[in-house]
Amino acid sequence: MNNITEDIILDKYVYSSSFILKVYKIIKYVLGKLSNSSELLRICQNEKLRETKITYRIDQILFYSDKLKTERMKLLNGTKEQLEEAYEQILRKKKFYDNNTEKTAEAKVLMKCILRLKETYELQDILTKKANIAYDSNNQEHEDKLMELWTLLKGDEKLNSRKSEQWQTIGFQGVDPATDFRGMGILGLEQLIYFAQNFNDTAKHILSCSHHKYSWYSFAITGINLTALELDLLRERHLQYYLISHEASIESFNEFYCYLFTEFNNFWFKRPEPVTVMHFNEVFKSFKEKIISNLTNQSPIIVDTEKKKY
Amino acid sequence: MGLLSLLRKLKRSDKEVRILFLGLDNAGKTSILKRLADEDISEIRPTQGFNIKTVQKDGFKMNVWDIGGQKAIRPYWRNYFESTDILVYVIDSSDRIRIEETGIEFNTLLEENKLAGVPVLVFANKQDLPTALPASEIAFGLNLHAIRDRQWQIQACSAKNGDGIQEGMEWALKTNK
Repeated sequence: MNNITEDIILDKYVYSSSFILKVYKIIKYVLGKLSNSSELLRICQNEKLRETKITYRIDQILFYSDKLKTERMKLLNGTKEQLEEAYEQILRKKKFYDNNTEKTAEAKVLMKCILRLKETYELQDILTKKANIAYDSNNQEHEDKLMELWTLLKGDEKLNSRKSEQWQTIGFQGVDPATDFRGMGILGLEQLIYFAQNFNDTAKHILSCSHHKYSWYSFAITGINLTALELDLLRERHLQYYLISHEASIESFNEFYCYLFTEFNNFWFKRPEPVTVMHFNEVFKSFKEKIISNLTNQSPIIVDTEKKKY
Repeated sequence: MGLLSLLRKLKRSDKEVRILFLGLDNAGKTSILKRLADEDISEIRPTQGFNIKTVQKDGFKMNVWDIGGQKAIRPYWRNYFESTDILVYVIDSSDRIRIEETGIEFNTLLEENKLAGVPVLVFANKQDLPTALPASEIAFGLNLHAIRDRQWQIQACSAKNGDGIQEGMEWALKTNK
């Protein structure tokens, strides 16, 4: 179990309730007036905190602060000039300056963390763009990727033709996977490939689990739904701590996807009563809740490569 | 009568209808459902299992069941027939190769006892695509004009730009007034 730290307590008990958040803000306001300091400043001064934790705390503060709304937009989604401008405004508002206008050590910490945070928001844009690239059967690059996925999962088995019932054996809906990528576009395909490439044995094992006689589910379609789930988690800021503590990159995003896939498979087969594919959305919803709780508790994210029999 | 009981009475007057959305995979069932509920349709994923949504409209409370269309799921369709008020059958008008397949599924549904007499609305979806067949040709392909045992209607539509969806649903609700 992880140590329960301030950021976890805030996520679990303060930010999750608008009433408690209001009370918390009033206390902060009074403390700030009394001490002529600010929460942001205190966090940046705290030498015991790791940079990851500081960065995550700054993200929380920026997100839940009413007074820093414009600054937040400029910092995280704006141009370089807007970032500089917002940074100066925050330094002034949050009492980072004494008498002179020299940048203090705390101010430098703040900037460093903001730049790290910015990466997580840029990642959202990059991934959304990828999800918006529709799968195109006339694009040779896309077609090659699709064949790569087939080979990774099916090895030597030959695909009789491009349109084939065989696609259903890896969990597509019909004879042509092209239409199944709707919504998640090329991102859905790339994540499936990442999983099948980097955790080949595990992916193949899960594929075979998905063929369960009673509780079968469609492997590839589930993968596409997991991509959508992960993108939601990212947009709803649940992935922030994970991305800050690793690295805000596509690679980290893909690693988390592999974690999601293995966790989903375990979750699916461990329902109190065996389920069928018709329970999918219901199970998927409680799965999302479980993952959010893991993330809020900052539980370790480890891809489960153990080949369990179901 | 107190305000609260008045409100409750008003609410009770909303007629509940159970609507079943069926059709092949990639026909656009979930997109049409999301259109009805005024939700974003840009990131729709293939439906595993089913979606259910309640939409209020014209004094009706529509409970819409949107069931996945992939072949392996079709055997489960029959579990959702019970007490259906309206059957909405969705077709991808641009998928010429599978027009026959969708016609066979459709006519099998019409023979189901539990769906006997249930009014059927056919959505000829994806009319925004240049390759889409017109509704009249789809009606011919499905042999709609031979239907004698229930009310039916075919409506050209596009979930993508919203055309035709309201018109179709208005017809469907009228059959239940």
